[in-house]
Amino acid sequence: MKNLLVKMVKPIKSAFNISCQKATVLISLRRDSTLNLMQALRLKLHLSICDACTRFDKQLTLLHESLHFHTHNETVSENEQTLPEDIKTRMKSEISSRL
Amino acid sequence: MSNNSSEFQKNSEVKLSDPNLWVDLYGDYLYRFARSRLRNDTIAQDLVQETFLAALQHQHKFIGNSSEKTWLTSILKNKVIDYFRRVVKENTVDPILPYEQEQLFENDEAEIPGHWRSGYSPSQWENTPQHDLEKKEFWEAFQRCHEKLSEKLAVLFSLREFDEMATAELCKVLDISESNMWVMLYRARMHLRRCLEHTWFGKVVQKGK
Repeated sequence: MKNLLVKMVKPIKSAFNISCQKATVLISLRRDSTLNLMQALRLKLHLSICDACTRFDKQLTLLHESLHFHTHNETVSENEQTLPEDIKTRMKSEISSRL
Repeated sequence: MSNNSSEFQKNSEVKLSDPNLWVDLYGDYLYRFARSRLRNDTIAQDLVQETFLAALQHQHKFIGNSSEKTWLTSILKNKVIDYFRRVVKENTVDPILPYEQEQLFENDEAEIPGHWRSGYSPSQWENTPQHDLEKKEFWEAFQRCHEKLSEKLAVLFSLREFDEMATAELCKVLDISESNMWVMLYRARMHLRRCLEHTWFGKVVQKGK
């Protein structure tokens, strides 16, 4: 009886089982597209049992948030690269010559 | 209705400032915008210059429903995309990235194929950047990793992650297929995550020991 149950559960389990490698592909894909139902279920199940992939998922989110913030927030990048003075002078004269 | 017309009046009063002031007002900002996406000083400078000249030519098109700065930024963004489109067209060969040479996952013969190999699974990132200085250092570390990407992947990643450009639009402007784009974004993310884990998160963990 127990054996029969194991036999029945096994194919169902393997249908939902995905490797970590596959999970990372879906985690990335989820950021750019909507997963289909099967993909979403498989990933959800995988993440519920896999700490490493859960960390991976969070890290991609963290990366996105800090980069998006950095490239859209001026106060953070204030002390960074500025245009060299000679380039500014060149630009100004280009502009005024066309006015 | 009355709201609309007063809105219109308000907008029509908005005028561009003297173009002679543009370089001082917006030059550095626009340069940073371009430079963070382009990785090349000269090209970034050229695109900023082109932006000012295009804005001069199209001054009459500025209708004031956005700020002057936003308007100039949107012109620059289009210039950047034009440049990217050329890059994607010209770079048909895609080199293997440094971090792609590592084998992160167990191979097919392993007991659990496709599982993270021991020592390669994502570690706990303790030191997420908090203060301004850390954020600046993190950004610099990121840029060093970003520079190791092929130009094509770097371009795609920037537009998607910095600018949150819609994927359908990305495929359209860069003229690539959806599945191709997914593969490229996956590769870029795998590389950058691993590179930062090594050079930023790993480094500080060691310091603490």
